[in-house]
Amino acid sequence: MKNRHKPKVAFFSFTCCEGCQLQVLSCEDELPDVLSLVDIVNFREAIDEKRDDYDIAFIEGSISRQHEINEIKKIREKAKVVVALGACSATGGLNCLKNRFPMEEVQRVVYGDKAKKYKHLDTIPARPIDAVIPVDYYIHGCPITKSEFLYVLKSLLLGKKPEIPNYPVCVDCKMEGNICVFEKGMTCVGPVTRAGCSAICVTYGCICWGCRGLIDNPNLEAHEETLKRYGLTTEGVLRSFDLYGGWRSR
Amino acid sequence: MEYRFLPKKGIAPFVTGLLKDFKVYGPVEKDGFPMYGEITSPKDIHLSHAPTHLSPKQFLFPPKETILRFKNGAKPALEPVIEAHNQALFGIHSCDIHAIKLLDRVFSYGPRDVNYLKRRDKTVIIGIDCVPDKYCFCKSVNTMTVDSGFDLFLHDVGSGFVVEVGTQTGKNLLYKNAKTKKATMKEIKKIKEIRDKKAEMFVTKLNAEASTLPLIYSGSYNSPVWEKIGKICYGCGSCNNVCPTCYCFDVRDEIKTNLTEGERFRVWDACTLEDFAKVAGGHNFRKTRAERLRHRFNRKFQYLADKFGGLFCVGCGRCIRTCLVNINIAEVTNELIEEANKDRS
Amino acid sequence: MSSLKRQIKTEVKKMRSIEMQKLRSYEDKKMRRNSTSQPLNLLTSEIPASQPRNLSTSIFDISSPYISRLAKIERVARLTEKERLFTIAFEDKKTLGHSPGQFIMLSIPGYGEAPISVSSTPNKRNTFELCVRAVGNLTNALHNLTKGDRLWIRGPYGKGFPVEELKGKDLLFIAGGIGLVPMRSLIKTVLSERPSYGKIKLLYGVKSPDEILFKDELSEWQQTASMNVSITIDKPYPEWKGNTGVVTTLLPPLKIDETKTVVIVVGPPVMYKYVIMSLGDKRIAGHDIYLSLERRMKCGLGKCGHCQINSIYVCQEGPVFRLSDIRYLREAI
Repeated sequence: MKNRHKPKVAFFSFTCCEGCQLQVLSCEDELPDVLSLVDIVNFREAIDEKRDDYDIAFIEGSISRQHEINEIKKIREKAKVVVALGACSATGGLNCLKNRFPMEEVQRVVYGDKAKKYKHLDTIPARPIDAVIPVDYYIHGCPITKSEFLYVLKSLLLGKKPEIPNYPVCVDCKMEGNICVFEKGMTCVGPVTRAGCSAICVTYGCICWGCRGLIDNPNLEAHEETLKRYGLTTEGVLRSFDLYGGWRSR
Repeated sequence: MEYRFLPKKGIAPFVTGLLKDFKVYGPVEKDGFPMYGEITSPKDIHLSHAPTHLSPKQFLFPPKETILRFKNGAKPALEPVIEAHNQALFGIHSCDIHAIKLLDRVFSYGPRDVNYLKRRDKTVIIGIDCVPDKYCFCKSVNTMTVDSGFDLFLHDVGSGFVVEVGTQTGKNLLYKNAKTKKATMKEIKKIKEIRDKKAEMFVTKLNAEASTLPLIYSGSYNSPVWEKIGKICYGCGSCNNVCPTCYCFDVRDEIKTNLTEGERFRVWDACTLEDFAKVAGGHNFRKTRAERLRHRFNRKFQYLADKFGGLFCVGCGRCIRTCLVNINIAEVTNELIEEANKDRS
Repeated sequence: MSSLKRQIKTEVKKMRSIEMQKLRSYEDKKMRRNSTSQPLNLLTSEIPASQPRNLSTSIFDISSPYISRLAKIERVARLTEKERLFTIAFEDKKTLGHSPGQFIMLSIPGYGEAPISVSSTPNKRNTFELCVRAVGNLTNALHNLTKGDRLWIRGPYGKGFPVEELKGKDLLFIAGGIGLVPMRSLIKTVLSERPSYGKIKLLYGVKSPDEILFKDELSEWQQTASMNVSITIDKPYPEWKGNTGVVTTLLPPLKIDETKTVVIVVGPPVMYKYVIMSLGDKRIAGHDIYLSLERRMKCGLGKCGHCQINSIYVCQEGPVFRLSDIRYLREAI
């Protein structure tokens, strides 16, 4: 609450589409305020400056190459607080889909037959950053929501522990006044997925893919039954759970 | 009690008239399903008579509502925020009118909740007769008909609407915005005929008198049914959120990026969610899904009947429709009735 | 036709009489009694025919029950690692007007609001004390505040201890951990009129010696106020020479006159069950046992539903209860 020194914030990116960083940059209305409260010292997407004296590190992307492990460990040593930014970083995200295949094959399909020869084209099973370093807080979503990013940042500046919802997307969906996707003849993983997104996908006519990861105590057995009752095969159920939950169900 | 007759083609001008003085919310179609939504022209109205997926409580007790605005710093300030505007709820079914009457009791009992009451005060309610779907069981909880709590009530008698006048406000609105004539005895009689027909249409029924349900529930605390449904329950809160009488809420603060100003707001909360009864120290007073469901069902049939009078289940069937694992409040209640009957014999 | 007319007339009459009956019913009367200024017409459909409801202005004027009063921290004392005692005064110099066992809702805007029990005894001065353990965002933020900082208070809320009923009785206080906080308000009230009460004992159980609250006051009560204080520590500690074991272990050797003793128990949820059983062994009537229940609370007004135990709202009907009133209330203990 008292005037402290301006905390230094850094953004880092590993294996991902960098869409979550774009979400941060698109907080146009709030960025002037944010910049008066913190110094951004490292943010490849936005600035040239690169300093290593940061307090808070927002880390985007999952870890999918050997050298990323060393890099992220260095970040952890320097940062007082590490926040996972987005699904890839927080739960492994879509990147973990590749873990179903042998790594040699993945490497060959992406980089060609000669890939093996080049050391810098190595690949390891993708994983969330907390599989490598301890993480203090998580901002879920693919991509993150701007409001949640700002909420977490404000909480950290106020010395508050951010409270991320521990209830499923169904709550958000009802509050948005949506018709349930199951009612419309589709299926989703909303009943076991952590809310906090205002059910944006369902609100705009899609289904919940589960990008925010599971709630603390999901009833997965019940949801498996439900998905089957709505016509999914065992394989289909696994696919629904694994789209964003590949690392967890490994 | 006054009954007026409004021809079907009189509805559009009536709604157009309402729109001059009120925000109007009524039955609309969303993705092909009946819902309540804002009506900006009579064309928006879908008088389908089928139950809506969400209840009209959202217009009196919004999912998220600012209650205070604050400013920290040298001159700290805290000011109440009470948002209420003239609104007309059009096409509300009798179960939901009963539900609103119960919410009125809750929010005016003890320290009065101005945010709700002020909004309620600026609301007119225009009811309409409905046709039960397979989940409705209002007849079993005595909410199939309603004799107060509305300003006007429309009974579709085929040739037009018999409009039952509930309040002076309703009467003024009707006289101002519609050309009606005194309903004939024949037309009024038709209301009862249709009502009798409706009474025969229920698929979902409770197998005991509504007045016996609090006692049946009080004896059912250790029933195996709770474990059974607790096992398949998601703890997703959907049954709470679609319920027209669920009113629990959480209170949170939201601070602006200047870190000095902000708002305190309340959001719907649900007693079936995991953290609902968890205290700061970590103890959770209803840890399992079974315990939380039992609490919810008992609130509807016993606890709130003790506190406020009247069953808090109005038989709208929404929680049955919304539940993806088919937990059916009527079936559960019937199981408890059966258990009670067995115990007695 | 005329018979049908008559039939409908009687039908309508019946409906009307039912409605009138409802209007006269007890609940409605009660509700009207509760309302402060004008009756809330919307609760019934009874709106005087000559007086159409004016929809552009409100028919009643009451202020928001969520609004708090600005207060200032006068003093902060560090009691233990996790607990601090805050002396607080309202900016408007008014008193809190609480009774022992009641709680207030404390806000630091931006951090939230939480129920905190009042730890001081009611007095005519305009300050009161709150002893707070840092366990969450709000309480952590409170611990960062110092003398002169401001916060917001509403209340007091709930039902406290029946101070008058305790007069002339032997009193046995049983506290676990921060349960001593609301109890301190009552103990100090009782000690301010020490001659009005019989024997007074306090059994106080804590996890470790460094968690003992109000150390100076405890020894003061023991020495000067003829009050018997026994402290026990859950597990042995090297430097601790007093009792070890949970608080119930202090009960069996106690000599209590069960005919004139009232017991006041405040502690964590897990403590109650065992203390109550031990008190049963001592033949203390449930009628003579009071306890204060902790629940999650968001409004303090009997609305938000978090503190509900069956049909009871702890924030309104509690937090202090007579054991015999809640012994059979499922989920209470």
